[in-house]
Amino acid sequence: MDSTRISSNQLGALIIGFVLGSSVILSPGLNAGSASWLTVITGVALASPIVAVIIKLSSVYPGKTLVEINDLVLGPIGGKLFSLLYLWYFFHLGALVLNDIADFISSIMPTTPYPVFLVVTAAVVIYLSRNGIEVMARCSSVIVFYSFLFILIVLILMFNHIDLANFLPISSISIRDFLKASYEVTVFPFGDIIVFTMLIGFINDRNKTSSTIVTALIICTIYGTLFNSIAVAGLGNLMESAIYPGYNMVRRIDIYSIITRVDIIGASANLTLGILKTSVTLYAVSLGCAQMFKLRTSAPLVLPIGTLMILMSLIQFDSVIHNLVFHEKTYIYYAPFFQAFLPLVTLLMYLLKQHLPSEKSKSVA
Amino acid sequence: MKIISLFLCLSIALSGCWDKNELTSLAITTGVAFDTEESEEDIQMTAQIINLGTLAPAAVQSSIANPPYWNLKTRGKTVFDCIRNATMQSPKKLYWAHNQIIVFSEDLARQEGVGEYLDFFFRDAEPRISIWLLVSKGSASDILKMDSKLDPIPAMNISSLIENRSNNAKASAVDLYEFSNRQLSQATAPVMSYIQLLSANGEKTPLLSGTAVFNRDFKMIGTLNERETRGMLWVINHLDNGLLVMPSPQDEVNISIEVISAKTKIEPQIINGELKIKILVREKGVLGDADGFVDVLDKELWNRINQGQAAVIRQDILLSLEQARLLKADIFGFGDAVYKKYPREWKEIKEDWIDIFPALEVEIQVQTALVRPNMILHSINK
Repeated sequence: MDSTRISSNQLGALIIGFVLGSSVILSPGLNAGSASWLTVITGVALASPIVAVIIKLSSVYPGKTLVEINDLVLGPIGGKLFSLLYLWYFFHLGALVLNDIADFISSIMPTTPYPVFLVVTAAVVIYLSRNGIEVMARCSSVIVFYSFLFILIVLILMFNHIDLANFLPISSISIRDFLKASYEVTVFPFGDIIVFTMLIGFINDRNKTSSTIVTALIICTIYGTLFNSIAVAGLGNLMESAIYPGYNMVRRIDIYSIITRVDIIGASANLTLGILKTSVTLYAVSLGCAQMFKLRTSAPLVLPIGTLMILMSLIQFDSVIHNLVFHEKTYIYYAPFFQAFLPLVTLLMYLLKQHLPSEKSKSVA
Repeated sequence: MKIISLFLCLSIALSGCWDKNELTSLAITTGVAFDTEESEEDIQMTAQIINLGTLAPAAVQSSIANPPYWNLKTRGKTVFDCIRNATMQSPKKLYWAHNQIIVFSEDLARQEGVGEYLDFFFRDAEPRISIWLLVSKGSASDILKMDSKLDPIPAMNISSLIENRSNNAKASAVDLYEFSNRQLSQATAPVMSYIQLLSANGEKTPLLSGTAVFNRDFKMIGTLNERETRGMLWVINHLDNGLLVMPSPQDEVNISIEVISAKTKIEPQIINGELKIKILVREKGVLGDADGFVDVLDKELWNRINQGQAAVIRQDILLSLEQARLLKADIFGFGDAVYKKYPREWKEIKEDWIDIFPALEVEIQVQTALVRPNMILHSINK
């Protein structure tokens, strides 16, 4: 790993931008009826073990990326195998987010060919990733700040459509359905932060690693809860039939016919945050590949991998519905393998090694 | 070299996209009307398109022979089919982002129902969810042909008419959002505004009054008259202005009270297994007009006027309740209030709600305040 460093605030901004990323487009957790506002909180609670594992791994191997940690813990062959699985997941995640972005824009501009959105979005993503983590981190502070502000303004402007009675009854669905909705939030977007195991090592003040991650996630939780609450109160019964509830909210804004049709604010926030999320995943894949093959720098890999990402997004789904069904039916079982199972195995192997010091010293000798 | 590559990049980035919409190639629709068609399968649609060329300031308007709009009649199998078939007659593509109203003829609403007509307006990215919905007495396309005063375009005229309904509180205003929110709720019956044409001296002008009531299968089942509409508006908390006209308790004098604020709470109660709905109305009014002498300094009389307005409100609600029971339509959202407060009990009665609702015991409590007599104390006609 080279000498590039990012500050703890920048890492926090990256995490916030990443978690909000495509989740402001698809707004997970809104399928729990009137209790949807609570799903983000329970979702984060369910995701806390994953976060704990990430923090633990980064604290025992400070300054190392997940690929390097895998090599150290599982040996050169096992480590490479694990890293390969992770890199596939990061790569696929990037392609999925590209799909989310392109699906969203193409439902507003139906006749423009789909690949146009993918290529245009990916061009920015590749440009951002190629410039490296420092540039991305500095961009993220600005992007996240303005997107956050935009979304906050949108939420405030919804005030005249809010009907607090929509929060009743408190339990419109069974506990099982509620936990399922929360679990979906755990997997997407909170589980996705496993990507940051590739980036945490860049932080310049290592003592602040865990506090930065936790603070960023708390901000995301507050924001997500606010967002879902306004969606419940402002969209009412129509919430569940909306594909893009956030965008539907923006479209409803109408302050006495003066402030109205502000769709573009929501759409641009959706776009910029989605681009940030994709570039983080693209950077993670490129860096991982570079480290696996012991390259000096990851920059030359960004363009080819980014292009592959576009192709992946192009071929993986036939339609928006295919994507949505994948999100709802497959992704929630597919992603946890990479988000929770593999890191847990890595951590357990590390703990085992700690408890068998004799073997370790023998092998060293 | 750098400059050339910059130009190349900009030519791609700045040249726009496939979905560009130029103003000159758009036919901006402001309203749409659906009528019954002889053959069952077809839909007949009338779209009102703004004729931008002739949309001149009102002063110049009279000198232009053509109206500033064009009512385009098309037919098709579905709403979207109608819209695309319109391009066989219109040289410009219909653009829906500024559509204001959807009018259904009463025949269509009663016989076929409006269910199949609404999907397009939710699904397409162009129309807004704030489009007003109306049912017209008689032909719907005639509404778009009316003699539009003050605003040159009938659909815009009706849209403003609906936005100003709170001044009379005798008509309901329902947009796509509210209609769908009621339809998707547990048991609330959807409603729409009701419009008709008044003809006098060969001129046809609109009258927006009353409410069209639908059942949960999108079929219109009846109407509420002006007073019943006001009763419904009290209960669903949509009444913010309006007049209560009543005889003075003292003499043969009519007085009107202007409502300045109103707030209603629906509270379902289950006592000993018996479901009961409690409606609590809080209203504030001012004395707006008296056609005879009213001694406002007489505290006793002032109190009696205040009680009088409470009685009018109660009567409004009772009348609308009676009509709703007759139609078996839960226009007030009592069912949803029960669902919100007693979700478990609601599950058991949900299926039979349509039979439970008419027999429901409803208690009405009205708290009113008469706050001021406005600018003068005594009428000049003593």
